[in-house]
Amino acid sequence: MKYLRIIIIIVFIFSSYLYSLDTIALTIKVKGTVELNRDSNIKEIITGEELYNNDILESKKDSFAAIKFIDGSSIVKLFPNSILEIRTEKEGKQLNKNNFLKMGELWAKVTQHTGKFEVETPTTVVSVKGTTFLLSIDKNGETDLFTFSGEVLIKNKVDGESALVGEGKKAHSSGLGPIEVLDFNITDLDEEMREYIEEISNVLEIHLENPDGEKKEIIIEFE
Amino acid sequence: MKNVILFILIIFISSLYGEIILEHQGPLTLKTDEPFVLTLKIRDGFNEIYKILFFYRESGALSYFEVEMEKGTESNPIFTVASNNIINFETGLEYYFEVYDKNDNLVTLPEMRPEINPFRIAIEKSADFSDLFVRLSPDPELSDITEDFIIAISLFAISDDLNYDSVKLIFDGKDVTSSTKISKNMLIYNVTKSKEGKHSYQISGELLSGEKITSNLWVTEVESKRKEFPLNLTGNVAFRTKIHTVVDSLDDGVTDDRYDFLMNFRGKYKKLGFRSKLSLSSREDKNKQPVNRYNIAFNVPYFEVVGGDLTPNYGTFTVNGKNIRGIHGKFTVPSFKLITSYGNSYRSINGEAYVDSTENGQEITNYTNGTFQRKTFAVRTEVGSQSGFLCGLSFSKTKDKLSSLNEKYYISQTDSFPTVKPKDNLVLALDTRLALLNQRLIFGAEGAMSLYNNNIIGGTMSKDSLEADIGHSIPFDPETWENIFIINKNVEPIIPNLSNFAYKTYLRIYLFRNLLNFSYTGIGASFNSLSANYLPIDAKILSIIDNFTLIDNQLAINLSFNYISDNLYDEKEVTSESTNYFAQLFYRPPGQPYFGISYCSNISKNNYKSEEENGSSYIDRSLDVNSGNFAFSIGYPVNKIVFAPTTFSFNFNTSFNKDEAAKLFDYKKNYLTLTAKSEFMDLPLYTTLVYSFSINDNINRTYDENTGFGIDPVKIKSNYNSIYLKGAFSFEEDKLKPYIDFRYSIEGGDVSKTSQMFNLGSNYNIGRKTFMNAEFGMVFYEDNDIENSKVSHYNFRFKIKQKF
Repeated sequence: MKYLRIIIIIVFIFSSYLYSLDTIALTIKVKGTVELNRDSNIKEIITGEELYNNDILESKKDSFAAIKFIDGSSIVKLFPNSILEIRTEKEGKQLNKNNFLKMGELWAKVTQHTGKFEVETPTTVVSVKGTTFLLSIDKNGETDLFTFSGEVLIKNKVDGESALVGEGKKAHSSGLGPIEVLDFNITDLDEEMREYIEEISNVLEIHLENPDGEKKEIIIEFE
Repeated sequence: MKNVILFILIIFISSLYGEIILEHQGPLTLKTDEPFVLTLKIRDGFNEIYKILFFYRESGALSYFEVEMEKGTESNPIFTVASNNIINFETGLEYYFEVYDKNDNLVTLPEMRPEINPFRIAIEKSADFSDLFVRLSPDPELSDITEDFIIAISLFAISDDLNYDSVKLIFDGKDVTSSTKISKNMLIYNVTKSKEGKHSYQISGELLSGEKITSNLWVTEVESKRKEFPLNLTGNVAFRTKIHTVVDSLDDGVTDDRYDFLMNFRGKYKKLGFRSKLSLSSREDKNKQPVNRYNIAFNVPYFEVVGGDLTPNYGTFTVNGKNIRGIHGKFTVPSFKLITSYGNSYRSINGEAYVDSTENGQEITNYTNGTFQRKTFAVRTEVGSQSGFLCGLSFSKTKDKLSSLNEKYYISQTDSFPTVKPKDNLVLALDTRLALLNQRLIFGAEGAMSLYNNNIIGGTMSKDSLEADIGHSIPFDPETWENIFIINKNVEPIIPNLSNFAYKTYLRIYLFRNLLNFSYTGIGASFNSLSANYLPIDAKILSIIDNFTLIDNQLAINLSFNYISDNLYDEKEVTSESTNYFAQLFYRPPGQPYFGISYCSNISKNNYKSEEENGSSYIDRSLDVNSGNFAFSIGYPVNKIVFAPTTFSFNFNTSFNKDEAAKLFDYKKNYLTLTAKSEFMDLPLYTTLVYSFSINDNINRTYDENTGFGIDPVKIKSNYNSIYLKGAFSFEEDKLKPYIDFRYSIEGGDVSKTSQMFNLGSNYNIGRKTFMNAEFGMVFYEDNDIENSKVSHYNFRFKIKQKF
């Protein structure tokens, strides 16, 4: 029995090691200095870097990385001064993503009908199904979430408080207590963020249509 | 004897061949992903058969493959054949059998000319594996495709079933497998120095089961090399047009075409940042205020300068919401900011000549009012930060430039009185703000004082003249202040008092899912700010707005109270006030039925006591107008309509607007809509169906201009029916979205009108940087109470936007 346990443990460790070496994502665009921390070995990466489970990416000042997961389900853009740990788990033919954003900001576009997509922060967990959102962690670990399309469920790690954040809404969580949900517009994001999302236009167009099909267009130019 | 020999031969042959009886019933189709096994059953003569050859080919091929079939046993008298080649067949399978007996005699099946008339079976293609190869790179949405790019194909979906040794990558027709990196889940190939134009690539391989699989044929276009630009430049450019034509059977038609060109860009060169925007419109008219907008801004750390149009915000009372075309500067360091603007908020516009009257046979020409060029200078300094304590001091001076306009455009040619009065205005404001709890609790206050001269024609008056004019002495010499502010008898009051002040206090709390906004504003009767958006004069405004959410933000409750009153310092006999209440509750759990309910009430009145004037005429100046609106909505998503999940909703709205004092109007309206929005599962189609119905019950009354007494009220009852249909499609992964909609409406009762609307358009995202929209629409109106009163509107809109 004792030997069996040892064998099971060895097999488990070995299989985990094997799995950890499977490519699970790829950097499809890297700008500036982005470092990869793999098993405490740190190197600077470029476009086309294969990423394994538990790899940690750190983008430096004015740097940026776009990552695509191998199931083709999601694109993650890591903004400057951010740290992201890639964490996935294969479940049948699906790849469940549970990445950990230690600090900084990321933008993600997730398509439906794929494996789970969650992003954990020091204080919250957000989970999505088919959506586009921006997640920002400040120096205190507090989380800001901006949902551009679809719905995102944000949940505090400590007290389990949650909120469903729909399109055009933003949520703020300190990790404990109620999660604030408010409307937002693109001007709430700073200019640099907007550029990284490629929403650089300073013209906000709002298309209105009443039930009778009458249309109005409001064009707001902002500085 | 011959006959005997012939008989024996026939018997022999008959016995020889007659014993082999074949039976074959081929399948109708063959699946390429299933093992191919074909069986020929021997009903009789099994032991006489030496061998059976199976000949097969792909339909349309010239030659046959040949395979010897495997012999069964006496207890299972069959011959079978299996082949892997057939999985590659696409057009179909053709085959026949050649049966040899032990004497090497041949029988075929089919018997007659089998090579020309073989058995035929359709090929049923195996499941499509092409989707199992996922292209990660190049991604047209993200990657800049240059001569060097990376092909990365995910093998994740088949990683456990793939024979990795069999994987091949064909790039531009060449097998480049030896240069690829194939790891678990991924194939990567670095394309270097590729020529501009289209490049194709495809992966093939085998599963462990032996099945061959092939990816889609991907194509990537390498654009021609662009010259390296030393600046990091991004932006967008857009052109849009709207052509609107009205055809009126009773009047001349109108054509209103509009064209707009917009361009925005921003860039950086080392520490120098710059940005610019340009908005040009066909509506620009030198005889009207500018519609075009353009500016360019440069910034380095701490400094920014903008030339052109900008709408700065210096606070509620100084410069706010007005476009200033000029130069703007900003100096920012932590905890300190200095901003300044100088430019025109209006440009001068000449009036137009017209014949005012005729005197002694001579026409007297007069002019419509012109507009003075209005110049604004503003400066603001701030200490502190938005996230903590902040204190700001703002100053603005706004003055009409007298010399910008010829006198004839502001002085009447008949009586020499000014028809347009140039103005001078100074505003000094102080504001402070304290933010606590990560800006969840914000207190703020603003106070401002203004000086306002309603007519600076003639310039500054001397102290003596002014004192003589107003009848009392003043403690300063106006001429001393001439360069700062023009002081003459049109400054009211000459000596500033409380009516020159305006103030605002506000509180914003966001705690426990509850957002509370409270503000109180008081504006004196003599307070004016020409560079701020419309501010009511002599007003006190109280506003309380509370929004809170419950049940994981599914239940939202909004309450508001607004009160506006004039006569701030109780200096007038009559005080007018308006009170507005609003309450709304909305419950929307995701994917579940939802409902909302709201009520809004508005009461406007004054304390004027009506009385008869002059005995014979009666003018009622009292104000008492009440309006209210109640709305209810409910919706239900029905996902059980599997092919097209549909959300049904019902909205009901009832409202009234009544003049209680003068009885000039009394409007009542009930309105309901039924909506069904569907998203089709198997079609890229979204549909909307809306039925609207309303009943209007309006009473209008006018007054006799001479007597002031009311005329009998006119009652109009009408109803409105409308049906609206819309179909929106989505193709090419949401890039191409055509749509079509139609509305038919009819009004009945005391009015009889019909209208039809039709729109056809499409949005198209061409790549990630180009967007196009085109729409053609028609609306037809007809008033059935007026003969030939048909009006048709034709609209064409087009927009193209390119990012760079």
